[in-house]
Amino acid sequence: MSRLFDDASSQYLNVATAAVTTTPCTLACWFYADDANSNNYLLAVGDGADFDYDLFAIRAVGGVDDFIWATALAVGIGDQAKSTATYAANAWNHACGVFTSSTDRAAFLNGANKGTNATSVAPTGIVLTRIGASPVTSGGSPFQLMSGRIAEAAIWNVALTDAEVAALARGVSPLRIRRASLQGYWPVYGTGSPEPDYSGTALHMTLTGTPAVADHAPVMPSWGLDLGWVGAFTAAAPGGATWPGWYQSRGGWF
Amino acid sequence: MATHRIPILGWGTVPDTSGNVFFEPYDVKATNDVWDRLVCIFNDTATRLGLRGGFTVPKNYVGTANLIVVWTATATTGDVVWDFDYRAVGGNDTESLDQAGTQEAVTATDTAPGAANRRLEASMALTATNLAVDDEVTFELFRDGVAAGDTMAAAAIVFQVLFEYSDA
Repeated sequence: MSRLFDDASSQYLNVATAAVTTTPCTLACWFYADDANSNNYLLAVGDGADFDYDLFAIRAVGGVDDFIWATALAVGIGDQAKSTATYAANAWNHACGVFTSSTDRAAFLNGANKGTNATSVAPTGIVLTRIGASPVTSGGSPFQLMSGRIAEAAIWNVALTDAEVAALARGVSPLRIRRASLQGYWPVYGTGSPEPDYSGTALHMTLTGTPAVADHAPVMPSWGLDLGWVGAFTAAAPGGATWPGWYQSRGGWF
Repeated sequence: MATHRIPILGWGTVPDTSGNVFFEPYDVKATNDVWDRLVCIFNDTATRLGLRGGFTVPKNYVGTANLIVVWTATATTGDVVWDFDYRAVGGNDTESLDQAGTQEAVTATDTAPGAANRRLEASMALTATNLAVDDEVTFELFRDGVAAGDTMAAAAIVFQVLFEYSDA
């Protein structure tokens, strides 16, 4: 399942630890916007400040241009890369922001439609990670809350390649992309609070409000599936030995 | 001769992009909330919903090939139409894996469980000679909501997809 966020009810997921604090980094998630005119923070890290914000974020900016924005702000000033195509409301889309350096960021919609931006922005003081709302506040409250579903959110401390971003948008699990660099992975199955982080860094997300559970994004299972016993036969084992049968699990032979 | 069954939802499994086929923990739809393994959901729609994947035909394959969908539902009335389309590619540097078209499409109509969450098997016979040892089989399993026979007004919950065959 995913989580269905109601922007009128101040619903979002939060952990008071930053998955990443600087470039290079990549933020990605699936989203299903149910309001074409809503500006939505999808996934972000930020300093939590009430002004002079510092953050990295991917946003679905409905009502402005319906592009995916990959935004970097430092002391409230910054810029964003924008995807070159618009997203469709009431359908699953994949958003990704690749922040390669302080002068190189890119936004992707559905694994393609890449837009870039080179304005020099170097956020500092990043302390939290958030899904479904800004990682900073205005008058003490997060803003531009998500209206719709979010699932399969992930953050890496590297800049993924265009091909890796395309793979994510074709349904490949984040756990299968640069696993060693994955700093946070929240499938958002909707089974409870906190929503677990399966990356190994244990940045479990606490629910604010009660976002409803909803149908999940079209993503392959996170951990692979067990192919089980594949028959009684003799097969060559690594190193030249032979074994009377092999068991295939998670893509490997055991 | 013995009959074997192997699970075929391997690492290459991926839902179509409809948003109506997806994986979720079983305790979302189950009531006991104990066994929260992942299951694959096929929503009730008026379209064909697909789950794509592939498997390798085992070394001891001889014939009598069947495709088994192990599934259930919370509804207890209506039918589900399953459709399994596949193509097998064999050889070593002789046949392209980049194929267009389907080698065979088989269907089965299975009735909703008599009580919610009971285990069901829907079986579809495959043409045995389409398959050979070590063939790479690429498939798509559909719930065919376009078919008039698909009448169950609830999600189909797939636990497993099995390839059944006999050896020598």
